[in-house]
Amino acid sequence: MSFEAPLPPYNFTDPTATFFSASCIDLLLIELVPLVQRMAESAPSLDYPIPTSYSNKLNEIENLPSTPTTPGPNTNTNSTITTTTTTTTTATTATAAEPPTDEDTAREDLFNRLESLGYKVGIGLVERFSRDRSRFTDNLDVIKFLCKDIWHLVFRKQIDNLKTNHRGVYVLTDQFFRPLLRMSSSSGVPAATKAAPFLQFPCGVIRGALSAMGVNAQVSAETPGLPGAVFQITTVNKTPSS
Amino acid sequence: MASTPGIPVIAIIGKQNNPIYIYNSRLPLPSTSLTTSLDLHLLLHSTLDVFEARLPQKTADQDFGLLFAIDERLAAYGWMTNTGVKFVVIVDQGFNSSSALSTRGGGLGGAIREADLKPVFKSIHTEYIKLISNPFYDHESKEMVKSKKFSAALEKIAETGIPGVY
Repeated sequence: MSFEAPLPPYNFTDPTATFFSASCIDLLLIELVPLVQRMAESAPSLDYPIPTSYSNKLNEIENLPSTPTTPGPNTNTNSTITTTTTTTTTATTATAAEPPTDEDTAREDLFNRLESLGYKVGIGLVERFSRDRSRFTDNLDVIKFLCKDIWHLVFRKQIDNLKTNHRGVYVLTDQFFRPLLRMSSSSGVPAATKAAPFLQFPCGVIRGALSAMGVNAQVSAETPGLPGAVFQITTVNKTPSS
Repeated sequence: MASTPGIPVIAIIGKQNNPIYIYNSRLPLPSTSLTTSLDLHLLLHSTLDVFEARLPQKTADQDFGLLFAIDERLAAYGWMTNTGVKFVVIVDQGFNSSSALSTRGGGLGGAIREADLKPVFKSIHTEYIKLISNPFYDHESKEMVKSKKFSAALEKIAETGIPGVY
């Protein structure tokens, strides 16, 4: 998918090319973080089984509407209320039982989820959009493709600044990063923490894109001031293994 | 069927040289050296060496052309995407290869030019992109792909054969 119609011969090789509104991805990227947050809260991790007490309560709730005494819409609202209360109670009991690092692990869980979502997107993007491109010769070539083509596809602009120490570390600076463009905050310090989850998905996209092109890397991001974002890529191997 | 150059085998090989999908339509192929699936796997393994040997010289495009000829009828053609995924197509020139040899006067593969395979590889690539764009596709999986849609698409490509060559 792409924002703008590419040059005419695109139909020749790609009958599935589709285009969508640019606001769509903005809204999606903004809405993604609260969505994943809610998912992380309701089902702590996909790897762990759902606690039996919780699943029992879920069963109770599922059985509730079948009771014939109360009218339909009322039971529905009741059941939704009970679900929310049960989740909050389980969450609070969990926080009470665990050491104070629980909030950190929850945040880490959220970050991991967002990052792995982006990872898949990155892999797909590269497979799709590096098709008609010449072969990558070195890591810098790969990073350039990321900064110019992939960045333009996802965020409608190129990276503003690319720095490298020529030893496998690349620093990408975007002065007006699209997902952060509409954000503002009254004070400076919490803004960076609040914006951090919104940078995880793009981090994943970068890591996925690089790994699809044969560069294993670690990606971290931070925002120095609100619409700006800085991504640091640390590559693990020296040459693309394509 | 015998007069048209057909595609009996399409293989998709992953970045770590892991088999992703192997389509074979009419194995065993009579009167060729490709009779068992073991032959096929041996053959596909040997194509990987050709990919690796030619990679340093391949800086421009993804088409690896004719990898090698297998016998009088069969030949293996290759393609490697920028993401390191390899496609191998085995072409069966059928029984008309002798006439093609006499008219064109070339060696094996004389009836098919390497450029003829390009649209085939492009459509395989399109199908592969569709496959990995599926949100349920597991990129880390070491298993072979079991997608009905993908199988059907590759079967269609194989049956369509090489456009413009007959």
